[in-house]
Amino acid sequence: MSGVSVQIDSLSRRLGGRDVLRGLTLEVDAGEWIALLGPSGAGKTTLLRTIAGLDKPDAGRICFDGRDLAGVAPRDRRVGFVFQDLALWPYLSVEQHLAEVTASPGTILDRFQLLGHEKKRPHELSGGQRQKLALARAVARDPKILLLDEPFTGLDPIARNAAAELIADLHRERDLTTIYVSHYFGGLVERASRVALLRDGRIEQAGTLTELRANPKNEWVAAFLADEAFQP
Amino acid sequence: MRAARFLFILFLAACGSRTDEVVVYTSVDDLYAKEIFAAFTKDTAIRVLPVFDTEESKTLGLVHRLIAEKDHPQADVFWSGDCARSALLKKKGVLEPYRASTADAIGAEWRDPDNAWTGFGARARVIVYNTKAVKEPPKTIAELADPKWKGKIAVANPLFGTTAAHVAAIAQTRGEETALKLFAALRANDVRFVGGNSHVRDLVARGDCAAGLTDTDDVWIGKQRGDPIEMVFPDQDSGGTLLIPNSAALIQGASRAANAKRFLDWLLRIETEKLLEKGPSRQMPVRDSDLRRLRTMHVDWGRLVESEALLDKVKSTLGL
Amino acid sequence: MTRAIGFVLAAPLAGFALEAALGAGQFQLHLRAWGQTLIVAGGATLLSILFGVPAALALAHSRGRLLRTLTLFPLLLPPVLAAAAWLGARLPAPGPFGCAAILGAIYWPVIALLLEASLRRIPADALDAAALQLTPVRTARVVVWPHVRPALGAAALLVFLLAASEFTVPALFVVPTISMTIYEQMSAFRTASAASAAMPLIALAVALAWAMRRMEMIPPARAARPFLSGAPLAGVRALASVVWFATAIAPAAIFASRAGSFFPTLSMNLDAVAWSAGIAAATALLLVAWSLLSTRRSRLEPVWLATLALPGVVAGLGALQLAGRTGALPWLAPSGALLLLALMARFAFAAWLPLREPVDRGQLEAAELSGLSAVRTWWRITAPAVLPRAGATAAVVFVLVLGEIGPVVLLSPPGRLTASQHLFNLMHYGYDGVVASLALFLFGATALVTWSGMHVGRLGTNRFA
Repeated sequence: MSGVSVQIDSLSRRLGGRDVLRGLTLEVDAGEWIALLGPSGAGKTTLLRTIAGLDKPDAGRICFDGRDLAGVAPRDRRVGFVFQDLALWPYLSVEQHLAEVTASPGTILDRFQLLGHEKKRPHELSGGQRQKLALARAVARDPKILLLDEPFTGLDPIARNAAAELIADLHRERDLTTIYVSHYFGGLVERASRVALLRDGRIEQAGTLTELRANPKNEWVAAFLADEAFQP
Repeated sequence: MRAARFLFILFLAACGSRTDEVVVYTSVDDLYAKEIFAAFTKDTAIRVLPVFDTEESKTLGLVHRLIAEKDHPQADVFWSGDCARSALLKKKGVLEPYRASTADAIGAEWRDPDNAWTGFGARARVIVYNTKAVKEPPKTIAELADPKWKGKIAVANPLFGTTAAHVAAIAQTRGEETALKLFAALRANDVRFVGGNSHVRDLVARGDCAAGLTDTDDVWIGKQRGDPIEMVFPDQDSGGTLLIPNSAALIQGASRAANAKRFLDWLLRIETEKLLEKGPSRQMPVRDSDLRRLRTMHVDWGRLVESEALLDKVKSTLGL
Repeated sequence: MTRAIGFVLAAPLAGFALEAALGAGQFQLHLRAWGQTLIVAGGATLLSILFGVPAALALAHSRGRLLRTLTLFPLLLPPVLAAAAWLGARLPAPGPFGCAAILGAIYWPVIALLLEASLRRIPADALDAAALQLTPVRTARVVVWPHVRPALGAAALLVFLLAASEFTVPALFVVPTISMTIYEQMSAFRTASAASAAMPLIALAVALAWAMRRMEMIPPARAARPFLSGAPLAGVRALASVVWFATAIAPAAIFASRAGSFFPTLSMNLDAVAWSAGIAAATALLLVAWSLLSTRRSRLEPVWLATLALPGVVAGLGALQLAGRTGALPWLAPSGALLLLALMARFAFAAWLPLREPVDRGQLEAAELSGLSAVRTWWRITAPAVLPRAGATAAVVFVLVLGEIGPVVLLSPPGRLTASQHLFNLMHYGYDGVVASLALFLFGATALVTWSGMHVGRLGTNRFA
């Protein structure tokens, strides 16, 4: 199994009277891990939602392996999505979450270290366990692409690292195209093969972290990368 | 195939009009109407399916329903507690003329000239007074405006019901200006306008008001439960008392016309009037020779229907 | 299919509008009637807020079903019964202020229930942060009040609308409000004049429906976080107890004491009782099913709210006249289908609003991305969240239909009489015992249905907090 390549061409989206995405163009190779960074309001979440098919673009197109996704329902895109607030189902137990998505939840439970917590409902889990459940649900259907929207909000450093390891393992095992969104962070950004900086709905600059630091396109990029939060 | 045919016939039978039923729309209170219906069913084996009005919607209920259903009438008979509604329905083309053979003795003054409806079992508009508080009750409506009754008189809302009919009848028989002046005088005398005739009776019975204008059936019901009230038939020496008969009519296009006519024949008999006379509201048979001793207002019910403009004037005069 | 039903539910208002367009009369401002209406409806709203706020706070800090059931009782009391009791008890001011007092005492549950729903959504961490630094009074001002303001405003406007459209109490107290004017004009067949009187009510309903679209309806995933304690909570509970006693327990007790032979009365009026319960149950179940199966908001919401804002008898007449003009009358009327439709149209908004968007959009999107079908998503994700509210909503609609008279008179199949109609007619004969028995039946039915409704909502969902 391996991931798809993603071609995003001149994507535009207007929300609430504001142009959130403005002719955004980006290419992601199959199996690549790319981190999308940028300040709040830059359009990161909207971009992920548009790739997943949860929002429709006003202009431009998105292709997976060259295939235009216009008209393809979210359910049929084989996308794994970890929402910022996790969007767990409050009335279903851990086991029930996975049973809704896959015929063999046991394997996933083990893989994500959720054995022993099968009967618990989301509000009975710790923050780290909830993250794992969200991740498990996202990958249980063997997606071709994994989208992570600021998935570590509120986690302590240990839990954060554990989750980061899990995602890294998944990426390695499945060669899963992974797009990870954050507005501030370190550990997973470093593992990404490329970083794309988003500003006002456009890709300001994309490349490896080393390249960006060495040759920032402009002062804004330089300042963004120089921010303390980005020091690994 | 046979089973299907049988079921189809059953279905048709269920849809079609039953030969043992009649649908009566009535604005008469369900309590005593039901007794009348039960007696009719006992005599004829025809079941009555009633549709009742309520006090709340009496001016916007069955009349509007009958008019809206004109092209596809559900009702067969309309039995109203007054004649104004029947006269209105005649005007709107909802009624079919029918002269019940049992009603020949009912005088021309109690029926529509074209036999669109027939009156029977009347109430009167009377002055009710509290027997403990009042020794010399008022004898005319105009007397209610006398300063000695200031703030002590109750009258139902003159825009609705029998009080509205009363205003219109006074206007018809004594002139519009007289009617308006009379009610303006009542207003100036701090008359209490209340929601309904039974209300007037209750206020008088409790002693909150000394006297008021109401209908005979309300007074009789009060007397039966022991209220200290009595009544006066007003204006016996001048214009006369207003009598408001029930009215019954056949609906145009009634699907159970034969049963409807049987019901009307039964309802308009002297025996039914006697039943109503014995009932809690003590309605007066219009055939009764005793009634002739009462001086009554001579009202053209057909023309009463046209008095909407008058009610607007009453409304602005009284600030209602 | 649910959208088509939504259009059908617009029929009474459409019928009214059609008759207004074709009918006699002219546009008038009816300023005097509006002046009286402002006193009656404005006063009722203020009183409802006075009663409803402590009750909402008490409900938000409690878990029991008893209090919620009691909260519904006043809505059930036929306003005219309360008005008759007011006159019988010779209470002062049987004019516009008396009307306002009665309607306030009847409609305060609307404020209480909507406000309680909002109170239960205050973010717990915001309250925690406030508890660390602010006094309770400042917490109320800085955290609680901004959060509940929209719900309170919407609820107040709804009460204003309901009170403005109520006319049995103004009729009894002879207060010429706008609803009386609509009624008078309709009685005189001046439908255009009636429409001009109704227009501001309809406009207000449209504005309210628009405002309510912006209110979030998502329930909390946890039980309410208490933010009151100690003396303030005790004070609020005491005030709320007075309200419940005066407007729910006392009337029920008075009816119970006068009911006399309750069961014989019920058995003598069994057909009316059964028909009432049947129609009310059918309306409630159909409306809740329709609302549950509708997944999106609808542009018809203002129309449904406007139908609720019109006097019931006027809405019923609209349905009847439209059925007459379209030739549907012979098919719909005899079986009671037209009555059912009119009642559904009347209370559509009451069933619609509480069941909107019961789950976070993210959960539905996660379900879609996870490959769940629409049916499975509804069954596993939406239903557990919405069933408790569906039960309560069905109970409220049941209660409202039980007390409704206007459309019933116009649309009941021949031979059918509801308990409310019968109760009304009996009032005029002073059959206090029978009236009390029937009123007690209405209360008892409310309690039973509300209790069951809330219990059904719990089945299969296992409340987790």
